Amino acid sequence: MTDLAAPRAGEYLTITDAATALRAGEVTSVELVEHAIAVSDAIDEQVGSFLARFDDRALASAAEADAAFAAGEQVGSLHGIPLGVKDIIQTFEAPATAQSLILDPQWSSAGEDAVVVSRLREAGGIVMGKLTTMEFAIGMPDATKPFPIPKNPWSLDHWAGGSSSGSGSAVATGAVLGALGTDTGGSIRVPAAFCGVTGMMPTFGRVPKSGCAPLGFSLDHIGPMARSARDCALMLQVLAGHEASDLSSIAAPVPDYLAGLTGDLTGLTIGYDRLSRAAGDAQDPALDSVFSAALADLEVHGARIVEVQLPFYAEMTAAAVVIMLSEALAYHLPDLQTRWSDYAEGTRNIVASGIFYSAADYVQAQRARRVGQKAVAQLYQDVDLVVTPTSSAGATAFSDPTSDPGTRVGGFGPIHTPYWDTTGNPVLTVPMGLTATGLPLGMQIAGRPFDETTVLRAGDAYQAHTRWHLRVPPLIGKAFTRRNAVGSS
Amino acid sequence: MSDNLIDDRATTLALLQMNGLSPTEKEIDAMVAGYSAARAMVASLYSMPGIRYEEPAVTFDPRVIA
Repeated sequence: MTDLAAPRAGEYLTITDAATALRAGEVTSVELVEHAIAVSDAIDEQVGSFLARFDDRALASAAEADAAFAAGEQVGSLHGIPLGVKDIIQTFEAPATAQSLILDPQWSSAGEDAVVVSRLREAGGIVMGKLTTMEFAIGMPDATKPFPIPKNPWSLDHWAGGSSSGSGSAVATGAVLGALGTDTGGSIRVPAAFCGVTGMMPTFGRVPKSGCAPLGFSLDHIGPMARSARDCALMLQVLAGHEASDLSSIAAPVPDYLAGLTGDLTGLTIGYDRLSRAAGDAQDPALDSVFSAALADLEVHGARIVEVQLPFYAEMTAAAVVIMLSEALAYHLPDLQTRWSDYAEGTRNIVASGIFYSAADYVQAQRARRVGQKAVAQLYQDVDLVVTPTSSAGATAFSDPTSDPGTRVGGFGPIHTPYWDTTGNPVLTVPMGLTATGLPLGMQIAGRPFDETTVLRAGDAYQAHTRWHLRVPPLIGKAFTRRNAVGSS
Repeated sequence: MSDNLIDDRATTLALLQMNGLSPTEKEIDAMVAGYSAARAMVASLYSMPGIRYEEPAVTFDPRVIA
């Protein structure tokens, strides 16, 4: 086993720092990739971030990246950076299994990159491997199937969150510096929050989905997961932009996200909603004080903070469930009819519960979505951003079936993410503190449609003055003692 | 077993049959238990203020895109 306490080259927490060091000649891409491989060698058997690793190919790509640096070539913003891809997104190296025995040939035929993966490679990113998910991005870990159980690197007795589980855990451990996740009801933001990293669900239609297995066609998003808001901005800059092959893709101008990271919040009005009314008894005892401290940090750095109430919270969450399950059932019904036992128990039962909703219910949910969208737009006449806890509780314990969010057909309890999938607004989750038992908690920062710039600005300003996003799980912490002190706030 | 649960079971079994799905008995029990909550959740979408004349958030472009 690799000694993670030994100082090595290639130890960087953020894409931003690694990219700067690469350009300054302080580190090579090969060293970054070797470090990422060392982390995976040491802990992936325990954490379960990867379904497939491309070590040799990644090292070869890193050597090519270093040669390009040495030759003084013009390189992209992610040149030489080790990244990971959730395994419902196609890469040419290996099939996208969707962590399923179904192996739909549409996604499981290797040889082609999804549009987003092509964009990462064009920017110089190095794909380290395919990351774990829930089966077809829905359900819960299932030990009866031949796939890794994605554990939380902060506590191996807890789930990494889903469905972009491996993306969250791999970024948290440093097995990759950034990853692609997908979000239909919270699948970027939940694992990001549970694993103590930053994740962004862009505006619906901002990032093309071509080459990604669907869950809910009208709710699915692809977005970046990384240590910091600045890293997410770097990745989003590469990922965003219209693509005709995705019928949901919207031709909107893509601003310079990094230029928008001003480091302060002066002039912004931020509404907050604690959402205790939705979390009920599931709320962590530390949540209120952690969230209050985060609000105080935003205020200290120039924002005006006002209390708001998200309109139609329960209805938008209900609409997300009806739409997601109806659309998922439409895709999976033929396979559910003939290959029921090939699906994981959690996946098949959740998707099959789509039979409870009629065609009229589906249309009604899409009508409710319009009502909610208008009410949210009205709210944004008074505020620039809205912040809430991402979840009012930390990661789910494997031993606690009652807190299993994936099996709650009627609601999400302490998880506050689906609301924004229904409305389509861009949302960033940033680490904001720890639960009473020491697990990460996240704060959602939601903005107006296509205003990722302001969302990222707020996240970056918050992270300029706090260090929650730089904390690493105890499992891996010793690996970073040489270069990165871990702060407490 | 209450009348409601009997109704929920009958409805769930009919929906499963209509959709050609064959879960285990244990899975059927779990689905029956979740049926009422699922329907109550949907009911809330029919009583939202302002929804009576709203259009659904689905669009269709008659041009074929390859």
